[in-house]
Amino acid sequence: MTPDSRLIVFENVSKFYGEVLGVNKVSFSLEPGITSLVGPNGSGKTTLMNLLTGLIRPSQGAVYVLGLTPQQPIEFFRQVGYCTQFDSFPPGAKGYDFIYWPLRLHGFAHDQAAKLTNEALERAGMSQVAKRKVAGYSKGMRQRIRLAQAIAHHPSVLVLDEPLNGLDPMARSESIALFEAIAKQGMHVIISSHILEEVDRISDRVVLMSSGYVVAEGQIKEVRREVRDHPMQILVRCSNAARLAAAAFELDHVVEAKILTDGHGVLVRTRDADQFYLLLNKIVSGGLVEVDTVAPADDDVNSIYQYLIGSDGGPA
Amino acid sequence: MAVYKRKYNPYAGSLTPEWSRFFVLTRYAFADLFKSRFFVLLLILSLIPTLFFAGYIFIANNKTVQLFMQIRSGDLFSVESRYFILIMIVQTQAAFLLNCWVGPVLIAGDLTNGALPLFLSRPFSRGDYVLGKLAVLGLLLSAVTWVPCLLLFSLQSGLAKDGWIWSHLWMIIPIVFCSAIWILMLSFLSLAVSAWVKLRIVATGAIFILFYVPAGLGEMFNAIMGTKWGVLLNFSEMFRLILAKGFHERAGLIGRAWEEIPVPAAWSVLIFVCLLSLVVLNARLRARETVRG
Repeated sequence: MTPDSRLIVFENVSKFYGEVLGVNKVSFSLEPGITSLVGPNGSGKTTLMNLLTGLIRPSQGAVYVLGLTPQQPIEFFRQVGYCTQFDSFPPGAKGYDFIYWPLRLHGFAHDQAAKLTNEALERAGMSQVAKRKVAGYSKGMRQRIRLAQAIAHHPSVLVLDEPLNGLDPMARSESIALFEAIAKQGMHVIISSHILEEVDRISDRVVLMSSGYVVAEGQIKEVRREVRDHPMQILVRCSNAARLAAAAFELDHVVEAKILTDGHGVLVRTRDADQFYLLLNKIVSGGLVEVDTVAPADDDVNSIYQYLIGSDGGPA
Repeated sequence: MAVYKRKYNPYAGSLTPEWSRFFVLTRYAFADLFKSRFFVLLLILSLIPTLFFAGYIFIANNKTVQLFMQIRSGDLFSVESRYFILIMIVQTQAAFLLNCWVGPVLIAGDLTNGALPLFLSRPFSRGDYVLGKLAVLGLLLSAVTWVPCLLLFSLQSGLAKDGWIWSHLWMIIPIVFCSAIWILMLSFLSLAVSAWVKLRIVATGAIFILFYVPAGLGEMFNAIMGTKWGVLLNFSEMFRLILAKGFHERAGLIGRAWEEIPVPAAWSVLIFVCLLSLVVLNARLRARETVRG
């Protein structure tokens, strides 16, 4: 079967380092947009990224990036931009050189490489400091110069390993804005991160990993819906909280209805969110309760991570 | 599903030939090397003997200068194969020193800074990477070995009479081939050391150790076992054997008992060192990160 030239496809991929498991039997396909790889240390995120960028080959299975494999290196590496989590800078390199020379490795002639270098520097907001040595950059500047280098050759897939690590709030916000802008242009942006709040904010979908296995994959809301062991939490801000709580308790699938301390809302835990929303519609239309807001309280990456992986990094 | 609008497209213009891309690393390394004054000084010092050799050739072929300097022709060492062996020995030793300074940093710097994924996430293989680094040493060591030697050969050919060039044209082969094996061995060895040892001073020490400790052990082996084969561990001696035989000399300037060692054995030793270094490079040059998370 010819893989879709729009997707990133992992087909039953396993990677072993000798007897050590990197990732095991990973299968998924990713559409354009921002995808976050989430998991504790040692869960296999970097292995997955290295497989995705062709730096390592799978022990079993196959990886297709936009229909290409690393066995077609010229086409494959033209499509992929990789920003590692480490400060991978050749000794003494200046910001400009750090982008220019890798472009020459791609086969761009001097004029074109210089043009693309300046363009990438501008996109990352690094033009002013391009002639300075990377060693003298702040952590945020290093992150941005790495990003500039990863996008300089106009890849269609951008892979970012822990791109928000060590950044101050301002630099983090700028980086996220840049990722979002890139994703909106139709690129695949694959991010690995520990900072779940930001992952939640920017991701179109997540891949949750633990001990080399993909625990869950898909859009965050879909994944949350699939986690049936943990009832959904729904926060309802309303006028008559006690009434709503009493009505909710009459439903079999509601396991908990907690009135908020300020008395102006209820936190409901239910095994069937759709049925609860139907009830809420009836109550509201009956005029028994005036509802201000209704919002799921735990369909974020943080909650999913806690439910599926656990705070200690092991399966919950 | 959102509808995304692509604002830029992948570059679709012409690219440089794939075979030439390893030179990108070579050019970058040279640009970096020439920033060091010590390197430039070392390179100049490596070429100074060539000037003396050139001066000697000029005097040896110029009667007027000989008269002016009150030198008789018979007092001069003739510019023949032994003279070129001497040039080669001096220049290859200069190449060894230059290699000890340049070689250890070529790969170690990239490994220390985790820069391998940076290179290898391009259309650029580990082979291209090694080739790019090898070209740095290859060009540099060529510039102090066979290139000046051939220039001196040309100078002698120009100054000598009676068709000297035609009767000595065969010398080009040992000049080029002996230099080539020495350059290859030095380059591979120092790249392997560079891939293993990160500190320059330690790596430089390791290259010296790899040259002189096996030689010493070989001598001990010879003394204990009463044999000659221990000399196979002396890479310099093996090179000199190849050099002397290449120039059809039986007893060279070195005056060692290497006559008993077959030349193919000497070639095999130097090629074996190259292959062993390649195995080390293959083991050490990995694109993957060591930290997983």
